[in-house]
Amino acid sequence: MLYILMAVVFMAALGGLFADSTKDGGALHLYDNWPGPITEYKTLAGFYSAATHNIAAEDTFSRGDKACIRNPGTSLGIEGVSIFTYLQVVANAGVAIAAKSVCVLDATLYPYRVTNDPDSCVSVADGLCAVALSAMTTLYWGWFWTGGVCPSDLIVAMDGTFGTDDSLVAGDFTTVDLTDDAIGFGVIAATTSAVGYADAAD
Amino acid sequence: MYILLAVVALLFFASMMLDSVKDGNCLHLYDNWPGPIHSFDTLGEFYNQDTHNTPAPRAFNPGDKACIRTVTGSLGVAGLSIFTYLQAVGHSDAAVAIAAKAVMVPDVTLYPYRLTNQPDANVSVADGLCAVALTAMDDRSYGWFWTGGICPSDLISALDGTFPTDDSLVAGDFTTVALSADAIGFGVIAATTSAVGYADAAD
Repeated sequence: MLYILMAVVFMAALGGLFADSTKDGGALHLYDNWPGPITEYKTLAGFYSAATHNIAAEDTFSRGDKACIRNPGTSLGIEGVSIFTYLQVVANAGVAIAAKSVCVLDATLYPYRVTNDPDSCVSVADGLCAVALSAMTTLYWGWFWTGGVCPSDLIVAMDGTFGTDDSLVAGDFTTVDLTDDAIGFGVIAATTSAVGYADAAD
Repeated sequence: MYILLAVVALLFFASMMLDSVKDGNCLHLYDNWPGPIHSFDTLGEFYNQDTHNTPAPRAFNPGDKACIRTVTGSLGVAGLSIFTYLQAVGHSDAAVAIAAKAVMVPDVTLYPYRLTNQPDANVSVADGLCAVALTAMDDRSYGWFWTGGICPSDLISALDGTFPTDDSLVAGDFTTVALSADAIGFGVIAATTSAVGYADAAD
């Protein structure tokens, strides 16, 4: 009985050590690592709408297109430039893609195809990441937050916290495999690339 | 005899940690600040007394980026220089004022477009974001900073000459480092640091 109790305590301690955490989007700033020119817009509706986002085929926009707009930061988030890239998504079979899902390159090896599945991606901790703005249908196309400040004042669903692995420190971060079958943010290591910059630890 | 040995040892350790410098012509900054770049033909189109070192942003917004090409390179080298519009935070102890060529990183007051030259009050020294002051800057003033491409010394003569390093620079990628002189400079990248630029040769 004592051994069982000790094992439970040990497992709980281990679980505590590796527990995921969160960080407010206002403290997270993404580097603009996706290659390509950026088109500036005055309003979100200039490029982001039901007609151009989460659709089955590219139409108005093409893969890799990039758009930017200033997040006012007057109501939610902070003021600054937010950058978006037009990408295709492959959904994790176990965890649906929702707003704030952190995605990386999908294992099906197409450069503009991203996934929120940490077990079916090219590599988690490299330089390309994209954050979903809404629920997305698998193999559909749409806009993702890929650079600058979090666009929470423009897209309310982006307000709040993002998943981390409880390793985040002030400074550069990368994408990491979380314990709950998802991808989040964590501290960079020797062979990983920075995807963004955090104001403080998680 | 022991005193002599101690003096020699102290001199040795001092030389090990001595700061150094590197000519700006050998330093090229990566363009790590997110945002579109507006191209200008002349410096005066975006950089002047009305828009630089002012207490509040006027003609430009924090994070705006500009670029201009140096053709002749009478000072420095010919090429593209990139600038970002940012806010400066001076030393709380006023020990080291912000002057032209001051190397700066995101300030500890947690606004992504706010920079400091204080090595002890920033978010993190050796990460991907840095900016170099073009002139003396007042605390909390906004202005343009060199943030990418070649050193704009042919456009802004105050940037001609050397920049501070920690004597660790090698040819290739470099990052920002805390110097022994209560300032920030350039030094070699390590395992968990990000490159902010590229040097032609060691310091």
